[in-house]
Amino acid sequence: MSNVIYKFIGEGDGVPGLPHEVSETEAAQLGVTGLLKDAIGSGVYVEKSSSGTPKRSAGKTPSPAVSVETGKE
Amino acid sequence: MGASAFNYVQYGKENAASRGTAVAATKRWPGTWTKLPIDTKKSKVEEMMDVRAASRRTRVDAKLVRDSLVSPNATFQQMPVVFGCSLKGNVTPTETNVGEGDYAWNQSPGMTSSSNAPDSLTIEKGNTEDGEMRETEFCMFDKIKISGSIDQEGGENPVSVEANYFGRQLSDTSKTGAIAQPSGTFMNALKARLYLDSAWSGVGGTELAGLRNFDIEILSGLSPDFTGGPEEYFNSFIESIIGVMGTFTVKGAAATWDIFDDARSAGLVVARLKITGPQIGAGANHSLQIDFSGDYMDVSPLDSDNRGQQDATFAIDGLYDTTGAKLLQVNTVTNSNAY
Repeated sequence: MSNVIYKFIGEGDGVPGLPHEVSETEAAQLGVTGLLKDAIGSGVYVEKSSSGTPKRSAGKTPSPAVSVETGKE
Repeated sequence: MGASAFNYVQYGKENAASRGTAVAATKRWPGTWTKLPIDTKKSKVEEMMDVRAASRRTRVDAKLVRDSLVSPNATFQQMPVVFGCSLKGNVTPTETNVGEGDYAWNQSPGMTSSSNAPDSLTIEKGNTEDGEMRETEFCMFDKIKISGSIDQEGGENPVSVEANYFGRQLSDTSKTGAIAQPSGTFMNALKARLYLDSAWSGVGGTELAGLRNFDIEILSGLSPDFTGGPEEYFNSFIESIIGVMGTFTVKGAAATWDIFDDARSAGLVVARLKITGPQIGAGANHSLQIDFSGDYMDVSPLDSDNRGQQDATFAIDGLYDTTGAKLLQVNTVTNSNAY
C-alpha cells in the first residue's frame, strides 16, 4: 500500500470519520478505506502532491452542481 | 436498529426537467431524526367467506411518503432549500458584494397562474451501522414552520425549522457516501425583530419592540397529484393556494393595546420578521426576512404573566393585498449559492 496523502477539498466541515488529511495507511488503520475511496470518487478528497498543491486523482469528475460556501464570516 | 448516533438524512436536488428521477445526495440535512415513515396504506378487505372471520386478505394500491425535515437549531444556510422546494424554485442567488460570498436568495412566490417551478429533492434516510437506507424521490415541502423563543435566563435562543414534505415512495438503495458534515451559521432568535406597517410600500418601516417569541407557518399549496396510469405513485404535483400565519408574543406596552384596538375591526397589516446573523466576510450579514400581509386574529394584550410583566400575544392571518399585489415575500442572505 502506498503512503499517498489525500486532502479534503469539499464544502462543509469534512466527511464524518475521515481526517481532513489522511494517508492510505492511516485510513486502513482507522478502518475507513472504503469511505476514503468513496470520498475520492465524489471529488471531495484529492491527492496532496509533494509540492503541496493538491492534484486530482483519476477518479470521477466532481458534479458541477457542487455548491460554493465561501466559509467567510 | 443500529445506534441512533448513526442515523442520517441526506438530500440531492433533482433535475427540474425530470422531477421524480432520483439523484445522488449531495448534502446532509443538519437536524434531528424523525422516524422512518411507511409509504403504503394497507387496508383489510371485508368479505363474506362463510367462515367466522371478517377478512382474508389486505390490499395496497398506492405509495406516498409523508415525513418532515426537522432542525431544532436551524442555520441560515438551510433556508434556501426549504423555500426552493416549496415556494419558488430555480432561483439563482445574486452575490450582494462582489467577492464576499454573501448570496441573496429572493424566493418570494409569484401570485399569478404562472408556475413557481418549485424544485424537488431525493431524500435519503438511513442508519450507517445497520447499512440500510431508504430513498424517496420527488420530495417537496407543503408546510413550513419557523419558530423561535427568547430565553430570559441568557441561555440559547435557537430558531427551529420543521418542513413537512411529501414524496413518491421508499426504495431500498445504497447510501451516497462521503458527504461532508454541513457547516452553518445558527439563527439566533434573540436577533429577531418584528415590524408592523399598514402597506407593502412601507414594509419593515415600523418596529414593534419587545418581541418574545414567534411562530410562522407557511403553506406552500403543493400537493401530490394522483391520476390513472401505469404506476402506483404520483407523477405530477398541484400548485394551489399559498397560506401564511404568524403568531407572536411581545412585551406588553401601549403599542399592544393599539394592536388590540386594530384587531376589533377589519383591516390590513404588513408584517416583517427579520433574523440577522454575523457578517459574511466584509459583505452583508446573514439574514432571514419573511414579509407577509394579513389581519389580526386572536389578540390579547394582557395574555400572560412574565415575571410580573404582562406579555401580549397576537396572530396575523395572511391576506392577499390587492394594492401591493402580494401575500408573502421570503429573502435569505447567506454564504451558500446552491442547494
